[in-house]
Amino acid sequence: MLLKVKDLSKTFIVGLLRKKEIHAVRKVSFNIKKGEFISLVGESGSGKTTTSRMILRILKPSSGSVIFEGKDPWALHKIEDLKWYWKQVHGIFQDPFASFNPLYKVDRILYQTFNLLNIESDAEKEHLVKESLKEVGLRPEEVLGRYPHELSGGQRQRIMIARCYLLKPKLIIADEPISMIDASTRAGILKLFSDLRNNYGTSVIFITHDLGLAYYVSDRIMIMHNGSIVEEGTPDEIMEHPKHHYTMRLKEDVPLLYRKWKGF
Amino acid sequence: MIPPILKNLLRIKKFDISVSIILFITLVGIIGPFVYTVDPTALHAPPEVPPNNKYPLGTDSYGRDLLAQLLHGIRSSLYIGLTASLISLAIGVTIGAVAGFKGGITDDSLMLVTNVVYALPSIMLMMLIAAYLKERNPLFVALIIGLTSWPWVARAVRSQLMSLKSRDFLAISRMAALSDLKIMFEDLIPNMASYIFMAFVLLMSGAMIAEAGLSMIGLGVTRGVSLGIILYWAQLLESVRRGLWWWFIPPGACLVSLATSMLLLSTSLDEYFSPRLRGR
Repeated sequence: MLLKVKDLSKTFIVGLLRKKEIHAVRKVSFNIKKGEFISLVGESGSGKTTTSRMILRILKPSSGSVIFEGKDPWALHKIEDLKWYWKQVHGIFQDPFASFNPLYKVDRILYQTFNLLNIESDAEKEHLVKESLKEVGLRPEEVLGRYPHELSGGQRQRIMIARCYLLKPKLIIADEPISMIDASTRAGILKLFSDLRNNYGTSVIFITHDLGLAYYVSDRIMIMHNGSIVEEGTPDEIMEHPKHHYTMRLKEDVPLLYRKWKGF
Repeated sequence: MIPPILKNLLRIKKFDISVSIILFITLVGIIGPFVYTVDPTALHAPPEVPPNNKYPLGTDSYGRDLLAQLLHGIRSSLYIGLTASLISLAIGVTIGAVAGFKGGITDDSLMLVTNVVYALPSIMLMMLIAAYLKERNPLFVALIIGLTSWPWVARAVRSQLMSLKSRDFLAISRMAALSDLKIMFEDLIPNMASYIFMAFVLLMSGAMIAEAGLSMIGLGVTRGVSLGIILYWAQLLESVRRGLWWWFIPPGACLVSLATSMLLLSTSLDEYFSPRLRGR
């Protein structure tokens, strides 16, 4: 088992005197095997992103545990251990514009990863960066040395994926990576994830609100609602025999091709 | 990094105009007293002479040379503005940054203090402190203004930092295992620099006007001249009613154009750094 998540919860407390608790994630548990492509589906505010950030070791969980290859990332404190963890588990976020610091050239995103890899020579770094860009279908001379606002959303998201190609992590958590990209380039980006899985055995947690999309790409689907996982199964099980009423509602929202919509 | 930014900024007309006015008045204030070496407090000239060859800006009722007063006044007004704004900037940025970065109870208590100071009428506070001091040199006046005008900076820096903290690029840098210090200096501070500079410009124009305000009610510097002090004397001896225009117009015009061009500068910077405002 690559990743074990057990009873993971996150509660936000707001207010100084009159405290109010917001349960963003409640006791989420699941496992991921090597090379598995699983989707986490749910509407906005269902706790998908919070869950992903807790696994990525960016947001501290309130309770519960994350175990990756037998180690709890939240128990790691030494910089060497943290480097190991982020080398193995990496994330891609929804908004390809917000992922870049607007003041720096896009090269920075890629060269940052050498902090996690042990590569000294500059020539080799440059070579690896160019290779990774080629792998995600970008021409290095077109994107290197540019600022984020000079590139399209699709190009920026491809650079984020190139970062994963540089690191070759064992687990990628992709938080709605294609929701803010033009429809025409989505398929290409999705293919990059499946290539990573097929070529390097990378596991992917794919977070989306689109059940139809999850059906096409994943080995297993988990439905998240109000901070808990309400249903779990293979894409066919979920689509053919949804058990939870929320899954049924999600399923009804999937637009069907070649059929006119009725009853708005 | 700097040259392209400057090049883009120079394309904004508002920026050009405001910076040239500020630079011009500042240079006059800095170099002027060395070129025109008349003692601004000496009482040797005939009183209330309109501008002529010997006294380019005329003299006041005590026979003091008004050009010399103006040059020294600009200098000390700029000094008070600069010192006061640096003081409030230091306090405001520190409190705002700690509150925004730490969060939780630290944030709550620091903001409580900030809101209390914010709610106090600052002119009242300034009057109380100023009236308590027997002798007020420019540094004291700057301190009084600086210590009362920081709360909005603290609040602004805090909210700016909190919004920056939740931005994805911070998480991206964190996942590259960059140290907190490196994240602070590479991701946070450069993104706040423009904001802090804008706050600085606004504080400075506010501080110079506050100085004039304090002087006008008789609580300004007790030694030397400032733009506010010239206006104070002009008002005290009824220069407006008596038509002594050379007494109150030059310092008033200097003060207004300095403060206005600083506001204009901050608007143009705002437009440049938040592109959503551009082209409006």
